[in-house]
Amino acid sequence: MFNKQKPSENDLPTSSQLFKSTIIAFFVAVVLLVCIVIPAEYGTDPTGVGQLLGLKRMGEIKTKLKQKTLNEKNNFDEHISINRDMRESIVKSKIKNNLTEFSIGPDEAIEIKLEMQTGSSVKYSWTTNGGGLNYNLHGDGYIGSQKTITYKKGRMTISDNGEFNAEFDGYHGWFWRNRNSETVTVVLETDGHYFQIKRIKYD
Amino acid sequence: MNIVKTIPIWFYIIMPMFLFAHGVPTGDQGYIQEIYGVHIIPFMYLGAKHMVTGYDHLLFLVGVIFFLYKVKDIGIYVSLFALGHSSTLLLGVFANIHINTFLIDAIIGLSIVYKALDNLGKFQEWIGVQPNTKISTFIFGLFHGFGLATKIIEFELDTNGLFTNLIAFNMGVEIGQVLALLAILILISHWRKHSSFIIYAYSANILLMVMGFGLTGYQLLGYFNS
Repeated sequence: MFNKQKPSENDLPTSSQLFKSTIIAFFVAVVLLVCIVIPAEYGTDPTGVGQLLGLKRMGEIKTKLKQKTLNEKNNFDEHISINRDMRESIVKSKIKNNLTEFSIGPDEAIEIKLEMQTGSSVKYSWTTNGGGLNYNLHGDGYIGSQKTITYKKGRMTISDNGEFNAEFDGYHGWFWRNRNSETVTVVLETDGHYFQIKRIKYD
Repeated sequence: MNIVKTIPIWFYIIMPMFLFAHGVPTGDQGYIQEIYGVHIIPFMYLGAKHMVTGYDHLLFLVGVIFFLYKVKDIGIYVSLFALGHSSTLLLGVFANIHINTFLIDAIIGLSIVYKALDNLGKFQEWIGVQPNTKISTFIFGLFHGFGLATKIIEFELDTNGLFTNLIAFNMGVEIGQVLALLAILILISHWRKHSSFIIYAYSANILLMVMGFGLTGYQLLGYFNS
């Protein structure tokens, strides 16, 4: 009936061997959990091993990303509901040109968005001073639209320029995060059709 | 958004690794997109995590070692499986072979069904020959590797340090596999010591088959709905 015979006594570990293996397995699992998994998932490092292996940093980044996503969501909703009212009073977008300068501390992030109409286009260029940044050029629809799109993204980038067309009504712009140990300054120039430029609170 | 669609729903249920909120991913993918350059141990960890928490791989391994009693045999089969998935993992990522996740996962489901039937000796009964189990384990290793490669491509690793990070990820996959295997082996050894092992071996392989078919059907549903 089977492909193999049932195990003979010689094939199987003795009861005491098996008991020992089980106990060892249990302790290895506990050690792995405390030294590796907890630092890598939650950034908590009771033994210091996680720090040594660089896994604590992973946990810290993941925890912060999660936290910030939650905070950001709340801030963003609030921000959109304020701006929607303003949008109704503006009939047409104007050609605008802005030069924005700001600095980002280590491990901090900033988001700058342009409120745009579908199809309107913006030319941009930005440069950094003090190090490269991780960025994500993306758009978000107004609250309830659930629209989101990523136009472009990159890591450790010191400058970028180009043009993009808004795929839908809403907020389109940049998210930058500084993963250096020093503060980085950014100069952003935007030129095109948009209602307003807005820095989104991100903490 | 494409990424969200191609990841099977169970991924969200089993482990909430990805949590998208307007374009910025969190979890392991978020972490990977925040770092730059070579990170050996973190990538080993991610490889091991993928293996230990990937129940499709684990079910296949249960099938493989179900009737393997000797440590030497287990070593041979697991090495063949590892050789298979390591080669397609590297090939898939470097050649950027993007196979639909649903189809790959459906094939992985079928590999579990195959192994269960093989354990039950059905191939001898039905087609009169026993397919070479070593070759089939290697071939299914190749499929599992494409699954891993697709996941890696979705992580969008930076090209800086890609090769080293991939090797580290692959080593992590092997470590995770050995850890998972040892745990399965200890559990199954407890069972083997009881007479119920051989009595329920048939039902257990049928159950494996049910899960394999279930997984295949689930992934195919996902494929046709995507």
